[in-house]
Amino acid sequence: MAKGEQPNPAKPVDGPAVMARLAKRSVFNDIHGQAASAIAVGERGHILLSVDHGNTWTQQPAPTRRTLNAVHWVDSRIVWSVGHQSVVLRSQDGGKTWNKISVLDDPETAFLDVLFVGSKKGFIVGSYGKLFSTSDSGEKWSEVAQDDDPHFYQIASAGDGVLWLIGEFGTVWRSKDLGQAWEPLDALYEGTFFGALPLAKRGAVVFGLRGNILRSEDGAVWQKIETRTNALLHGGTTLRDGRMVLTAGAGELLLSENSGQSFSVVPLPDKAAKPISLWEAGDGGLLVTTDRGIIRLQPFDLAKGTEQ
Amino acid sequence: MTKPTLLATVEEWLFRHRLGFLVLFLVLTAVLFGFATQTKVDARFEKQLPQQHEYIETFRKYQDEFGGANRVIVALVVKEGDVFTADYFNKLEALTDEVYAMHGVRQESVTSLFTPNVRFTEVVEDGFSGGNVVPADFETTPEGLARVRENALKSNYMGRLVTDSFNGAMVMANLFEIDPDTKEPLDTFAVASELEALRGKYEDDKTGVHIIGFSKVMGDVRSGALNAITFFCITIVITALLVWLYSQSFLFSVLPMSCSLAAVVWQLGTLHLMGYGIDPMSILVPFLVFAIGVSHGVQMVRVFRNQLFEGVDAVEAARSAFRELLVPGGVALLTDTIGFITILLIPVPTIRELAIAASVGVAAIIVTNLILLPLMLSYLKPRAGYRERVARRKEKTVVFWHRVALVTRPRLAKGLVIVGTILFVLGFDQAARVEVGDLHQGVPELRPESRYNRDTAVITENFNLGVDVLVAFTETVKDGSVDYEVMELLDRFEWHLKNVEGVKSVLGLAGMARKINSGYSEGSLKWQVLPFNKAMLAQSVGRVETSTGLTNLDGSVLPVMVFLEDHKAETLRQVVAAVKAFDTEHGREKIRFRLAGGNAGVMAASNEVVREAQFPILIYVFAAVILLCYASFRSVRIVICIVLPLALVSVLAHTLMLWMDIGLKTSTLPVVALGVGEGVDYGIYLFSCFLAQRKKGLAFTKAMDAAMTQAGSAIVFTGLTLSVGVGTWAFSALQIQVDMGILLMFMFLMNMVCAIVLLPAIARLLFRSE
Repeated sequence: MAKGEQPNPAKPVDGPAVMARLAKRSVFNDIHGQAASAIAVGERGHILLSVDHGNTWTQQPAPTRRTLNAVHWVDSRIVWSVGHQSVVLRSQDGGKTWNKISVLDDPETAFLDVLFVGSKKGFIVGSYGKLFSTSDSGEKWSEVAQDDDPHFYQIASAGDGVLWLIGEFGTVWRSKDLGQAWEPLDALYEGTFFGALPLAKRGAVVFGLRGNILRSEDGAVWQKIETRTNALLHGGTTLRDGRMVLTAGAGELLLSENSGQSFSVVPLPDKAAKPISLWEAGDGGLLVTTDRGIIRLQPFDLAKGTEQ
Repeated sequence: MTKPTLLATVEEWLFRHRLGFLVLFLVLTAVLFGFATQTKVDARFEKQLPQQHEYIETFRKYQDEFGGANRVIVALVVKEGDVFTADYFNKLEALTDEVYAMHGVRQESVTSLFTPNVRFTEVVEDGFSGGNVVPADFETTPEGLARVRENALKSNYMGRLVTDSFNGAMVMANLFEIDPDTKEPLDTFAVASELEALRGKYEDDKTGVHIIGFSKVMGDVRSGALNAITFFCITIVITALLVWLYSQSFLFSVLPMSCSLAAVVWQLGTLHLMGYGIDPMSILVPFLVFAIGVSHGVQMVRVFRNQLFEGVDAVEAARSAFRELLVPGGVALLTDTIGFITILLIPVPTIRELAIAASVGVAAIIVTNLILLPLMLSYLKPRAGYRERVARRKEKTVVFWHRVALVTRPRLAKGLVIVGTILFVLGFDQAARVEVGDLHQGVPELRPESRYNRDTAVITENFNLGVDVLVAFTETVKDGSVDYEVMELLDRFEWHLKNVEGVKSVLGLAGMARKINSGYSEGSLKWQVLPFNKAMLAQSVGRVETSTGLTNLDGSVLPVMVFLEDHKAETLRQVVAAVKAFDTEHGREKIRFRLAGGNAGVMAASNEVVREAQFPILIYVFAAVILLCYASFRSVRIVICIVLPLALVSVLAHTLMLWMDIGLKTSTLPVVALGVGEGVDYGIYLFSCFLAQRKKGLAFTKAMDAAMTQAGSAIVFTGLTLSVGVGTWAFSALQIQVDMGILLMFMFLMNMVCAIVLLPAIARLLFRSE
């Protein structure tokens, strides 16, 4: 129960996720992988686990039916997932069973992303400027108070202690010391950013609402990248060969072969599926979560059928 | 013995005043004809609803508030390529204008790509922005068409107004219930023919026009029902031929046929006076009445002419025919009536009307063919040479009947009974597997291959639209729609139903609110959730208008529309069970989930009613037959002889249903009762003859042989006449008539065959001692 006395008489209600026939066809907000395994999380507490590079999926029982927004593998056993109404889950057996972890009890806070850098240091970000961190593998979480309260949609690690924190109102923050200090960058756009793909030399490609993609080599000088789409760009990933893929509108992905200097449109097999998040499987297949399940693209699928 | 005296008194009185009675009957017929011509086709949907069923009570309770819109859909689908051509868009625009101008259309409800209410929205930095999908300055240039395509993709109308693959688009419109000009209920038939005219205008080798909607169904059902007149004429012609073949005389054919037509006139006239119209289901009754009338009339002619041949005069011959047949004919007709009355058990008004119509018709036959006919016959003088003609024919048939009578040889009889038993056992196993409900796609009233049902198939394949909808009503407290606890449960309810096998999609307030909340969060799919914050929940829910049918004004009733893949009984049962299970597990005082609205909801209720009535109706009709037979013959053995073949035939009729994919539903359930009620006639006639021979002192074999020779031809004739009467429906445009026609024809024919083959065989075994 919430600590203070709230005027809202409604009580948060929760319970185990329903193991449903159509769970695999529901909305999956995030996907993350580890070797041959991958986990996708989404609405109604749906958690799908694949141990064969995303070819087949099985729903795993979850102790919540709240919508999950993010998933992150720490190592081959530990997986974290966060979602709406401040729900935080942890699995210690590679995603087969999950337990609720108490970080915050506030039904009005939505956790939007979770990230671990190494096995000890972790972050959870969410709506209205919520930022939590842990230094002991998630045993204790403490809130890092912020002056501003935008929704933080993503926290991404670029290695070498560099972190990117992305969110509403053009929020693009960079930290060079694992989140001790944050440096707001001016990415020339006041709308919402949903994610960042870090570049070498502390630059990044950030993307967000209405097809907005901005690119900077160093974080100081930003350049707007024009594409054909003006769809909301939910997510993206950098492939092992350096190519970048972003989700675009229904039935479409964006592909860049030059570190984000330009993008071309790649069609998805399902024209009506809205892509949300991406992960390159261990065998090079691309796993795309959508609002109607998960699509697996074979590695060669990305090369063909591109159009400017 | 008072009975013969009473009969004699009645006979004496009738025949003394025969001219007076004739005139009276003629006048009565003329008057009733006047009423009969005023009979209206009355195919109200309301009449198909099972009375007092829990689902229907709920359906009625919310009918006014959420009264399913009377909607018509005209879809324009290209045969190849996509819709982005100048020709297509010109057509779609013209079609939209025509639908807009149609009489009875609520103009504000007209929706197509060309109407201003069809807008797209896109999320921009400071909220929503949007415009018309087809902009005001639209031109059919490649650029203009490309822009429409983009706008459509951003709109909420993909799959709804335009297909996902862009091979078609539709115009939707809601109709007034009450005609604003005449203040009378809207003439849906006029609407249907206007719609048909649109098809003629816009369909060509490049585009197909597909029309669906309740009014169109009503129009198609009515024109199908009106074809019944053609079928009736065909039936009369074929029957006349049969009667002539049997009677070998023009006058002897005309009289029983006229009397039977009089029975139909009396039936229709009386029903009109009782305030009933005729609906597509009870339209079969006049056919049945006519056929039953003819078969009884022919029996009358048979006895009359036998008397004539024995040398008595016409009046005396008519009197003895009356005397001989009033009681067995009356009993037979009474049994028919009782068979029909058991149908009243099914609490569905259309079925009850059918039962009433059939009972009235059979009662009319008692007057027209057992009383009026002998009175008319008494004026008749057959022409010279008639007797010889009949005798010649009889010689031929007698040989045949002697052969048939061989079935009473003990060994053959035993064999036949064994075959009958095996058939019964095999049939029973099959009969138990007959499914309840309609088993086909589309509107059950119309044939699966009818234009309407093909249109339905095209539209449901190409658009995200289901025509089989079950509505579950969530009853909650005032403002339940902005109460998180209620909405969270509603959301789970919607998901629960969506996961049921056979469910295509689910539309409910919680799902809508989730989507809208995502819209308020710049379209991010991560926010496709119900906001816990009450103000945000209210903001999302508030955007859903009551016209969607997903909420009432104070948010206390939240219907969930469940679109189904089909309306097979199994599908309906699963959805109904899922709703009930969810209500049992999660329902509470504050939130209840109730069944059911929508066409599938009504079907689910009908199915339950049919399932409940299927055994009682058989038990009652057989109980009635057994009691009446026992009352007439006072012999358990005779009752067994008559009832067993009937039981076999009704089992075989169920087997036929299984083989022909006909489900047990409100239209087919009465068929067995009708068939059994009618089939008993044969047995009664045969045993009347048999007993009359026995009274003359003949032994079993001789008596049965004589009975067969006397009544056999009449039985075959009756079976054929009845089969023709209903057999013509097999060509009807209405599937209910096809099903009923085929099943009844089967029962009538099988009853006939069993009566002349199995019944004497059983009798042989039971009367073994003799």
